[in-house]
Order: sequence, then structure tokens, then C-alpha cells
Amino acid sequence: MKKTKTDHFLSEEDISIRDMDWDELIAWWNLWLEQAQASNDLDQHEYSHGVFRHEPSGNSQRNTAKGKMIKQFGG
Amino acid sequence: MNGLPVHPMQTNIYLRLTDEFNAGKQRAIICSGQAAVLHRIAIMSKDGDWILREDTETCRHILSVLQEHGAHYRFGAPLDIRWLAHGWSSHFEFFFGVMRIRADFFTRPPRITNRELAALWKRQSDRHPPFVDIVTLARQKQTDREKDYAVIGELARQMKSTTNQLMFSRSALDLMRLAKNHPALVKKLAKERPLLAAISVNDRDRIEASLDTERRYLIHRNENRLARFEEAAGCWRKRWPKLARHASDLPLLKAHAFLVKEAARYLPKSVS
Repeated sequence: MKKTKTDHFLSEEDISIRDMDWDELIAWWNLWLEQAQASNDLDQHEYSHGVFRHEPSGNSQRNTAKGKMIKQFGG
Repeated sequence: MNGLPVHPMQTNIYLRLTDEFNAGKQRAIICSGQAAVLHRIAIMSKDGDWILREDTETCRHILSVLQEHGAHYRFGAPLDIRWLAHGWSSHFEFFFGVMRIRADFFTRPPRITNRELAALWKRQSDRHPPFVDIVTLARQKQTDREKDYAVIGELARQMKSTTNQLMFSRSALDLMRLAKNHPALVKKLAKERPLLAAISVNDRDRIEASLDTERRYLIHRNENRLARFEEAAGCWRKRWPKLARHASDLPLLKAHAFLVKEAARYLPKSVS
């Protein structure tokens, strides 16, 4: 059978969520969100949505969630 | 209620927040990255975005929910309809267990007309959870980030209407197949999406070049839009570190009151 040519936009892993049932999706989504925390330090001052792109320089660590944790629990 | 089966044990923080925001009344619709998950496109964002109803009670309720979670303001406009009505966005952050949660809000998403927005609220009125439809999501994704155009490409493939597929497709091959079956529609839509005029020649390279040109146009259009907000927020940006230091010692509702007072002096409401 002749295979139809197609353009690919996302990986097979990305689009695999369409075959998951609801419980699987939620479990995978939560796991993904937890693993994505690894990049928190890299995007600490960045925005992914809205009309802003970066926090002002000079914003002290105290004003960030990380700073608040340090303030609360020590760090 | 229509929608997805959300069992209390089968949820996540963004669905839970949406339920809390919408307690007693629908106030918030999930959009952007988390809506892409609910459309089964991909999981690509760790932040949450919501379109809010543009009324004072909604802002008050959202702030109360966020205060309960220990959230604080990030740099942005106050969650107040006087700014939101002009397209500004408000941004918050808190920790939920080990997870850093970011919650971003606006009432006037870009590239969505007031009429389309009213229709969106109407369509989502009995949805649980409410999240933007696939066409609205595709428009939201017409940002200045390259990766969003891959998402639009997948979204277009999920669209049921041929018109929408033709208006949003990012694939030359898909467009050529659609054009073969719907030549009259392609001709009609070419007035709204000029690159469709290139499909008739059945030339993949030319269509791909047109898709690239269109993407760059959309990217530049969004860059220009953000630049206008950036410029308007100049004074606010300079003052923010000092304001944030003071606000961080206050509960969120008090911090909000403080920032509204300051924003009235230093952040213009309308952006030219």
C-alpha cells in the first residue's frame, strides 16, 4: 500500500496523548509538570504568556517563589 | 454539564484551580498551553493561562483563590478590569508541593474579536472544564515563538471544518490535498489568507515559501504588539523591584490594593 506523504509538526511522543484515556492523560500530564520543574531556574524571570517577556532586572530573589521559600524555610 | 470526566482523584493543579476559579459561577476559561493538552495536541507548557470574565467580582474571586494558595504577584498589570480591558495581562506564582505554579490572566486575548470572545463565553457556559475551542487556540498560538506554529499545524489537522483547515493549516501537503478537493472554497478564502492563492499551481516549494513568509509576518505582528506594551510599561518596570519588595510582605489582596494604587500613577491603562 502506498504511504501518503505528510508534514510532521510534533513528535510521536507529543501526539501520543490523543490515544490515552482520561486517567492516563492526567497521570502523564502531572508527571510531565513535575519533571518540567527542572527548568525553573532557567525561566525564573521569563514569561510564556501575556504582554510581558521578562521580569525587570534587579528584581530581588525575595520576590520570586524560590525566594519566598528561602525566606520561609531558609536556603 | 458537558465536558470531560473530571474525578476528584484524577485531576491536576490546573483543573483544580479552574474549578476553584469557577466556583458558583463561570469566570475563567483555560487557554493556551493547558488547553492544548485538553485538545490532546501535546503537553508543552508548565504554566497556566486563563481568559477571565471582565468584571470586578471575577477579579476579586480569582485573587481570593490565589491568596488561599499563597500566591504572589509577578511583574505585570494589576488584576483589575481597568487595565485588563485594554489588553494587559496579570501574572502570579505560588508553590503547590514541589511544583512552581504560574497563573497568567487576561480578559482580552490578542487576535480574538469582541464578538468571537462573546461567542466563546456562550459556547463554554456549560463546559467542565471550560477551555478554548480549537480555532481560538490556533489564533492564540499565532505568537512570536516559532514552536507555536508547529502546534497550529497539528491543531489545523484536528479542525472539523474545511474552511478552518484551509485558514490555519501549516502544511503545504495538506493544503494541496484540500485544494484538490475544494478549489472553489480555496479561491474564496484566498481573499482572507493570501497564501491560498499559491496553491493552484500545485507547487509545494512555493506554498512552503508562502507559509514561511506568513509565519514571519505573524511573528513580527506579535513582536510589534508586545513592543507597544513594553514601551507603555516603562515607568512601571523601573519601579517594580521596589514595589515588589513591599508587596511580597503583604497578603495578596492587600498587595493587590497597594499595586493598584501605584499602577494608577505609573502604568497607563490604554496602549496606543
